[in-house]
Order: sequence, then structure tokens, then C-alpha cells
Amino acid sequence: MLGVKLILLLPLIGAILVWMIRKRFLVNLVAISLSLFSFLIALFYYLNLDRTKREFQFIFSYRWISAWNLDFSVGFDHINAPFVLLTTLITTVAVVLSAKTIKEKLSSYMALLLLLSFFVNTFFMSTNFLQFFFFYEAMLIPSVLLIQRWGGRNAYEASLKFLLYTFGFSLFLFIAIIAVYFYGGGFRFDSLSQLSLTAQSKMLLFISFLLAFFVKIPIVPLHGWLREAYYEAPMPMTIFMSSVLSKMGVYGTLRIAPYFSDTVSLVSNWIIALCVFSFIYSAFVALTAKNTKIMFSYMSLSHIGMITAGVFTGNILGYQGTLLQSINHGLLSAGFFYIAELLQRQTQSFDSEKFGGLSKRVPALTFFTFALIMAMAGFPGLNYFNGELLLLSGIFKENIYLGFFSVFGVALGVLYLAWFFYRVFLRKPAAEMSYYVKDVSSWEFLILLLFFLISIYLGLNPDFVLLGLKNIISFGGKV
Amino acid sequence: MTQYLLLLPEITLFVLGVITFCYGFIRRESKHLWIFGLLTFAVSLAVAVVCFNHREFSAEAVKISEYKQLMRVFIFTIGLLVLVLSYEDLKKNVNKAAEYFFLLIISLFGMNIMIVANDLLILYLSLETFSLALYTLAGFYQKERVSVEAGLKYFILGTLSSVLLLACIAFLYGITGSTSYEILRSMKVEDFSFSLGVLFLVASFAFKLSLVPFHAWAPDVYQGAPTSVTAFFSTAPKVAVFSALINIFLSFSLQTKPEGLIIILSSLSMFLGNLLALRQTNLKRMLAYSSIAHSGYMFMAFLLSDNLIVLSLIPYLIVYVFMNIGIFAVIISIKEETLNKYYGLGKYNPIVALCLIIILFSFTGIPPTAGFVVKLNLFKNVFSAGYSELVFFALLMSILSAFYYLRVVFYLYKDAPINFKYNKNNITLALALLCCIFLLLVGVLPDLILFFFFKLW
Repeated sequence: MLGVKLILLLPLIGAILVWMIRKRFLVNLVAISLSLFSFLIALFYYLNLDRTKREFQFIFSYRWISAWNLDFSVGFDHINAPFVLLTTLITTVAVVLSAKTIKEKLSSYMALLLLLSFFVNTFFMSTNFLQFFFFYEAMLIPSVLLIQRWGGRNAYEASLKFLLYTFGFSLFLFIAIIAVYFYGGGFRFDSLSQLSLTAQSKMLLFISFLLAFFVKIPIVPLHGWLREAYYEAPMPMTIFMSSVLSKMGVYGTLRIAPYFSDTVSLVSNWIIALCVFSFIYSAFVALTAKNTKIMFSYMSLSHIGMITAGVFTGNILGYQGTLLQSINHGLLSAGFFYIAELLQRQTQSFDSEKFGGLSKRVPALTFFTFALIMAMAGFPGLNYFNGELLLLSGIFKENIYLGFFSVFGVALGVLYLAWFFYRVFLRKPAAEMSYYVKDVSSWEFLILLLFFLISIYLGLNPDFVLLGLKNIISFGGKV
Repeated sequence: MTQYLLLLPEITLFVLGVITFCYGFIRRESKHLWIFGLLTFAVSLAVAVVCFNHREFSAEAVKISEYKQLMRVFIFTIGLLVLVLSYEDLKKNVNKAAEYFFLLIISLFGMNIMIVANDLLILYLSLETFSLALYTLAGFYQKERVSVEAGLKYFILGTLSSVLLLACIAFLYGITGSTSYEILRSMKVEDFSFSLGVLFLVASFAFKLSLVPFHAWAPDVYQGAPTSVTAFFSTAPKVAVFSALINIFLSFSLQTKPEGLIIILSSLSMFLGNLLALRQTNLKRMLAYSSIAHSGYMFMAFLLSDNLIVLSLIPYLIVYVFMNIGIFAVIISIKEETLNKYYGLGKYNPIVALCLIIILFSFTGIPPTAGFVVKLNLFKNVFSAGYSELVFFALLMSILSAFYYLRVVFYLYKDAPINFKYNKNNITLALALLCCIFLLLVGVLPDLILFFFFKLW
């Protein structure tokens, strides 16, 4: 299985190469081509995945720690495959964007970005808990350095906050994994099904898993790092964080939830209520934000709340919804941050009050922005609609009141996006910054078109992500 | 004759050390002294490696097993590394080089004997041998006030520790009429004098390991002593004392373990060490507190049963030594110890900055560095032994430590003060790089360090 290895190895090789080559042109060429190749290989394996099997496929394993009887092994299954695809795609987009926008120390920057991509890919593809945790933490090093060295004015505080939050709460994951090893007899994911624990201890274990994941996602009471980290990070990094790093937590919950179905059924209402609260609260904050980057950060935070809620509904609809919507959210939030970056690059401003009347000046950008907004608002035929439908039906099935609140949150989501569109593209008279905005150039057009096409494709064919999932996952007999 | 063969590496070290001292004493300004010093360590290291044997030897007062031989090799390696580190320090003080070498050699000799000792009296003698050398080394810069102060402080508190050890020996001898380790196994917990003896023993060793509440000497000594000596302080004595303590604990029967004492000492050290390190502005002083905290983590290992102590403590110790040697190599190579001098280092000296980043992440215990692997190994074992609350506390404390370690990483990319000159020093830089490579390699392939010991037992 050379190929599966290549998905991981190409970014790693790229990171080393890029670090040694110092020429700007070559750095860009190597980084873009290797990340693109990695994406294509991931796509190839994704399409060849046998969706009727439950276990990991295309496994590459290597004896890692003999003392603990542990292999370093990577593989694909129906849950992690979409995430790997998303990671490789977003890496490519982030690398292309960085090649154009990062001015200083490009080669170290690219090396760190590719290293980050390697860590995250290995995290998603790992087949045991220790490897999972290893890369969950390892990814902190490149991401913190990226935020801190290439970030904005307050990047020091932002990165320290991000680091301390994530590292601090990962202690719960650390304890949980040691407990799984001790009580379940190994680091494999299925050890969770053989836990010899009382219901109460199992609940503790579940909560400590959740605490770690909820900081990474994040869900509202634990989101203290988000605003600064997203705002101060360089834009490609913000894109990477909001569309890939936040999915690490979601993937973690998706991975463990089926094993805890009896525990979930005890507390599901509370957790869903927390997630929905996060959804609505962040939507309100986004409503007040005038700064586009902050608004999109809160938009990302808001939607990820509802996405997480799906896992805990304890039925297949919500579970499917979470998986599908994670991918959709990754694409769309990347698109939105991309647009914010486009506006900022030409005007040095994130302030939406300083724009206006752009619709006549830049028709192509207006079209794509509007398409993304329609998608995010849940327009049928575009990708977000399917996932939202699944999530809402999952939540409604579990608790009708929480379902009602989620619909309210969805409505709020339309509101702030519409407001943003009005302020930046429609409002007259146009403010001064609008005169500096030019329409998208060819490569930007290509990227936006790519987002748009994927959005339409996934909207019409959600089975591309979900195929066969229904037959495989079970929640203790509940459907 | 075979008894002497057991101690061949130590004897080699001692003889060559005396020759080096005499040569250096006669020809003060000689540059060849360096070669003599290096040869002394290299030859004894080679002898120790060649003598490496998988069988267990036992003479009356000395017992040699496989892991003890390994520790011996390791101690020699540390000696070699510290010698390389001290090159820069000694260039300024050429006329004292002979004394420096001799003290270093004598202290290593003492530490080696301590590791192989199988008798409390030998233990005491070896402890005194290396302690006396260390007191002098701490105050090696006679003209600098802080250095002399450090030496004096260390001496006064260190004597207290020796007295405690003597008291312990007296108690145990009083009960049993023997000073051999073997008698410890037959002891019972109910015996009050025995408990008192163990208390004194642990207290005495806690001084050398700088565990709270016996840590007061560490920060001043670390800061005051010459940097290469600090590097030596933070590594070799800990290895020796931990190994000796392992030997003693292996001879205890399981019930006689002072469980509460271990929990209190280790949790206090973790807590205070990490807490006090938070606001330090001097890197060496910060490392003193960090070493207190790390001693606390390592001390938890004594809660485990027999071979698990070795399996979880020794890998930690090895990685800890390489982290310390690495970071002191960085300090020596840029010759600055106050933290605000590290601003902007990443711009002017990227390689040193890279080393520092890797080492600090390893100190924090973030993968893929070796610090994570050994921490996981230790914590996992302690958790499995049933001390989950203690592990939780230790993890909480290691999060606290993330703040002060990684603060330094962020300083590296701040704006540097204008007109600031950084020193460059290729030898120590190479050493720091070596340590980094080791840390990364072990971090990525933990088998290198874990499986090795796994096989040994």
C-alpha cells in the first residue's frame, strides 16, 4: 500500500524540501504540486473505498512501540475518509493562497503549513488512540508557530491562549486514553466496546473525552481562544483552522459516540442544549460584528455548534448530518474567509462599514459571494441544505423544543449573512474603500469556481459523503 | 581478582584522572590538558562499554546488574558531554583547568560507585565523595560573589543531607546489625525505628534530588554556579541518586514502601516547582524550578512495583538529561541567561532558536518529542498502579509548565533590542543539535528507548 502512505508523506517531504529550498518560485511550485498530488491520491482512494465494510481499509502499518504492542497504522474507513479528503483539499487551497499573500519568510511558513497538514492527516487516518492523541497534540506546534510568527499585532497573546486552552484541556483526553488502555486492554478504537466499567465511570470517561473535543471544536463556554486566534492568524491559517482544525474535535466525537450510545442517551438532551445554545449565542455575536473576519469567525463557531449537536441525537439522521455538514461547513467557511481576504488584500480593511455598492463594480465576486450565502442559508440544491435537513430532523426526533431553537438559529444565520451582503455589496452610496476593490483575477476565479462547483455537486449528490453509512453505524438498536 | 575487574571502568577513570591532574598541575597553561581530559572520559567510557555484560555480579559491598552497567555508561556519557560544554568556560580560566577536570572526574567516580553500591556505608562514602567535589565546583568562580554564595549554600544544606543519611544508617544498623541492602527485604513496617530510618533516607535523598521541601538550595546554586557546572548539577547527580534509590527500593518488600511520603513529596515538588517557575526572568533559575518539578514527576515512579520502577523512571531520566544538556548548551552558546535577552533570537540565530524550540516543547511534553513519550510511559504506569488522582494532578501541573516553557518560545520571535550582539559557538551548538536530534528521534520512534528496557527485564 504505497498510495495511502503517499497521502501523508507528500506533505512531509514537501515540508522538508521547502525548508531547504529558499527560492520563492520553487517553494511555491513544490508546495502547490505536492499538496495537489496528495489531494488527488486521497480522492483516488476515497473513490475506491468499499462502503459496505465496517473496518479500516487500505491499512498501512508499521511496528511502532513494541513495549506497548502498538503499531503505527493509517487507514481509511467510512468516517475518516471524507475528513482526509477535506484536509487535503483545504491544504491545497491554503497553500495557493499563501503563495500569493505571504510576503516574508515564505519557505519556513510553507514548511510549517505542510507539516501541519501532515500531522492533521495522520491524526484523521490513525487507527488507534495513542496515535490519535499523539498527532492531536503534535499539530499544536506548527499551528501555534504559524499564528505567532505570521499573525497580526496581538498574535503573541492569541497563540498563547490557543495553545493553553487546547493543551490544557487535552489533559482530559490524555487521562481518558490511559483509562481506555487500562480498562479496555489496548489502544485500539474498538477497545472502547470492551470497557469493564460501571455506568458512572463510563460517564466520567465520556465527559473527559468531550471536554477535550469541545475545546478544539469549540463549543461556547470553552471558546475563549477562538476570537483572537482566528482574527490574529494569517488568513490561510484562519481558513485551515476553521475548516479543518475545528473538524478534529467533531471527528473525535463521531469516532467515540457509537461506543457510548447508552451513556449518550442519558445526557443527550443536555449536550444538545449546550450545542444549540452555542449555535444561537454565536449567531447573535456574529450579528453585532462589523468586522468581516470576526463575523465569519463567529459564523463558523455558530454553525459548528449545531453540527456537533447531531452526534448526540443518538439516531442515524443526526449522525449522518454531522458527517455531511462537517464537510460542507469546511468548504463554505473556507470560501467566506477567502472572500474576506480578497476584500482585505486590496483595501487593508476588514471593516464592512467601509464598503458598499460593490455589486456593479465586481459582478463575479458578487455572484460567488451570493452563491456561498445562499448555500450557507440552506438553499435546496446547494450543499448545506442536505446536511441541515438531516441535522434538524435528527434533533427534532430527539427533542422537539431543541429542534425549534435550532430552526431559530438557522434563521439568525440567514440574517447576519444577508446583512453582510447588504452592507458590502448593495448599500448606496458606496463608501471610499469600494473604489479600491477590483474583480477577481483568473486564479482566484478558479478557486471560487471550484468551491461553487463542489457546493452544487454535494448539494445534488450528498451520497458522495454518506454512501453506505446507514448500514454500518448502529446506536444500541436505535435507528 | 574478578572483584577488581567489576570496577575496572571506575579504576580506569580514577587513575587517568590523577594523571590528568598531575599533568595539569605541572604544566598550567598547556592546551594538551584538554586532550587528556577527553581521553580520560573516552577511555573509561570505552572500558565501561566493553565490560558490558548481561550477567549479574555480586561482591560483598558491590553488586552489578545489567541496568546498573547501563547507568554507568550513561554517567560517563554525561561526563563527556559536560566536558565539551565547559570548553568555553575554561578558555577564560585556563590556569584552573586542572582542578576543574579533577573535581569533575572525582565526582563522576563517586557517582559510579553510588550506582553499584550494595551497602549503605559504601553508599554514604560515595555520596560524600561526589558531594564534596560538587560543593567546590559550585563555588568555582572564586572572584564572583554569587558563585561563592552558591557553593556555601549548597555545602551547608548538603551536609545536613549527609547527616540525615548517617542517621538512617545508624537506625538500620541498630535494628539489624548489618548495613547491607539485603537486610532491607526482611524488614517489617510495624518497626518504628525502621520507619524512621526510611524517613531519614528519603529526606536525605530528597535533598540531592531537590524535592520540595528540601529544594531551597537549588535555585541559588543553579543561578550562581558556572553554566557548565549547572548543566552537570542538573543531570549527573540526579541520575546517580535516582539509580541508588532504585536499588534501595528494589530491595524493599512491597509493604514497606513509604507510600504517603512519596505522594506528598512528589505532589509538593510538582506544585511548587511549576508555580515558582512561572515568574522567573532568569533562564537558569527557571530551569532550577523546572528541575524540581521534573524530579517530582520522576519521584512518582517509586510508587510502582519492582521492575516497573526501572521501566518508567530510567527512560524519563535519560530523556531529561538530554533535554537539560541541550538547553544548557544553548545557554552557553549564546552566553545569555536573562530571558529578555532572548527576544528576537529567531531572526539572528535561527538554528539555535530551532534547537531551543524543540527542547522546550520536549520539556512541556508535546509530541512528537521525546518528552511526551516518557511522560506518557510514566503516567500510564502510575495510573495503572491505581493512583489516578495523582496522575491527574501531575497532568494539571504539566499544563502549568506549558506556560513558562512556551513563553520563551514566543520571545524568540519578538522584536530584538537594537544593537544587540549574539555570540556564536560552534562546539556547543553542535551539542545542542545532537540533543535535539536525539529528542526528535526518540519522540518519533519511542521503541529506541522503551523497548530497550523492556527487553532488559
